[in-house]
Amino acid sequence: MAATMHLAPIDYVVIGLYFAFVLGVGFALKRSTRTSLDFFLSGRRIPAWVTGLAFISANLGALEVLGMAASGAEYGMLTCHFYWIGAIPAMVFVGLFMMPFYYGSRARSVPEYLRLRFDEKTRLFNAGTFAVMTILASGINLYAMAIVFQLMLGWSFNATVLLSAAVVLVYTWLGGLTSSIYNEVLQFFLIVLGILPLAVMSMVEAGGWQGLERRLPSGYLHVWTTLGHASANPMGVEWFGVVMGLGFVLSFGYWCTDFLVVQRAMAAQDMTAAQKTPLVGAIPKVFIPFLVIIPGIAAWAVIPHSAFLVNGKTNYNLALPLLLGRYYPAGLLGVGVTALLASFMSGMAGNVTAFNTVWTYDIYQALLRREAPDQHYLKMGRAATFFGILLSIGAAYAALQFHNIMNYLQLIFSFVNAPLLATFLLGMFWKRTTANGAFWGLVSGTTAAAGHWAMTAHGLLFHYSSVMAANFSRAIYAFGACFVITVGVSLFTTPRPEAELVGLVSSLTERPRYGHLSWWRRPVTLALGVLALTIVLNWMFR
Amino acid sequence: MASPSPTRTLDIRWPIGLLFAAMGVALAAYGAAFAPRGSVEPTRVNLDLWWGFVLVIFGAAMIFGAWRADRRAASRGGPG
Repeated sequence: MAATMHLAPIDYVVIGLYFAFVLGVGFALKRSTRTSLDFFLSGRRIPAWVTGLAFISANLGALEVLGMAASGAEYGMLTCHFYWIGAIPAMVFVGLFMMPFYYGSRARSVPEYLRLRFDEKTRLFNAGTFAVMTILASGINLYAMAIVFQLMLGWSFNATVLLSAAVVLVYTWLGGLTSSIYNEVLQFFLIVLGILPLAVMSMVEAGGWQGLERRLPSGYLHVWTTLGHASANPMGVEWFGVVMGLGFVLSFGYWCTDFLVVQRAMAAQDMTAAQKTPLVGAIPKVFIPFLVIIPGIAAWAVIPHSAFLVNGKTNYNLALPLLLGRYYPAGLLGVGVTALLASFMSGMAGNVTAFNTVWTYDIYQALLRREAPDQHYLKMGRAATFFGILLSIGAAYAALQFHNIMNYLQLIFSFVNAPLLATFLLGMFWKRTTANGAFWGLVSGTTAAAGHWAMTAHGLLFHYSSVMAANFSRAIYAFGACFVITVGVSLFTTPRPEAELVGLVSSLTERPRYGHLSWWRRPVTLALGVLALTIVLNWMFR
Repeated sequence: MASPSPTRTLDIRWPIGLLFAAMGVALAAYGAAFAPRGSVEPTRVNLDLWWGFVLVIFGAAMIFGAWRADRRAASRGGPG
């Protein structure tokens, strides 16, 4: 690979400082981790700015950073849709409209909300699929990390996997979710401060926005104007797929129901902080395209395209590593590498902490040991951390054997998350939804996604201009199937008495009141501000 | 509402502040001593030196915030 870099001793000093601090934080947090609630939900005492940064940081893994820069180089500004339409509206929605039920119900996990609202089988269906997904995601993260550092720096695959897994084990074992959240916030600042000079340098070299306009075809630099027809843009998508598939189903499915992110809000210190968690996270999220996507575009504009060739094929994933090697001197390179290292490790820790919570509360406590002293569940959580990491290492080596496992993971995500969104929307906003309706809706939504995938793969019935267009469309079908079946079965089954649904369903729950807060401290003000900012950016880069 | 825990959790601004300050000092000192250069230099500034300063300032701001919050909590005599 052309981007192989060499680290100087100063770079190792910077990386060493980071490892020392991460382990130090774990030991410092051990003292305040005494109960299972401390371990799994940080004792519900984290302020909104910390949970908010952790909320987006859990999603801003190194794969995302490298992938979004790659996508910027390949598709240009169209990539911004993953932020400005594919994240912000959903984050505002979950904060304003769903958090009152997640946090207000005192559920300790997303599957536990499903048990409170519906029944045990719906919870187990969700807990089981989620546990498998997080372990796979954690393992693939570990695999990608070892591959990236092997290609970039020549580090040994085995050493990277085992060393980073050991560090993640130590700090999540000691401090549980708090350790994971603290590392996510630390990683957020490392990514911002480690990549910012690179973003500035690449724009200076490209000659600013005007320079990019001179160097690239105009389609690269617009967000909306090329979406009239799938053939008019490099992504092969059109506006309906972007708005409904990505902007609604995929994005709301992820941000509103995925326990990995929702867990951060559940750790907040009170209802206001829980509601503000995704809203606070949305503010930096709006600007992340300037940090990762635009440098990716600039890389394609200033670096000779031959540098992107690997075995004769263009590999856009090299965009960010090429920029690092191009601009960063020894020292700063250490900071950039630490930022990537930190975001890989916190991506793994986030998955592991979500896994140990769902395993302990939703599978072990629900099925195997219902009544036990709190210390027992704390011990089980630590044991689950250990086994979760062991399984992740196994998944990383499995990924090494089957390279396309990543594509399958994306697929599983779309099978699981898209229908789940319909279950949650109906569960929270329609009191008539019944447990059987929810369960069979979920099963049929997942089946519809699998059926759509099988038919597309064999060229039956559905034809799409690109894989991405097919993904958007599959999400819409899966959501639609779950929605229709849930409504249909609910209408023929008996709903639960309204008294049991107070605090779980919108029409039966009192809204949180913010009369005591000045207007600019209320969640709704923050939400409107973020939305306005997003609209302005969409318009500016249309 | 959450029941306040008897132990105060470590303020996250301490480790963030200390880590960035330490990284910044190492970076700035290295930049001042060796003025290392990237392969391509669009701006011709000593990146390590100046970005080291930025990291130190950021770290110091975090440490100040943590120190002030701890002092306030101590003067209230309870968990913050």
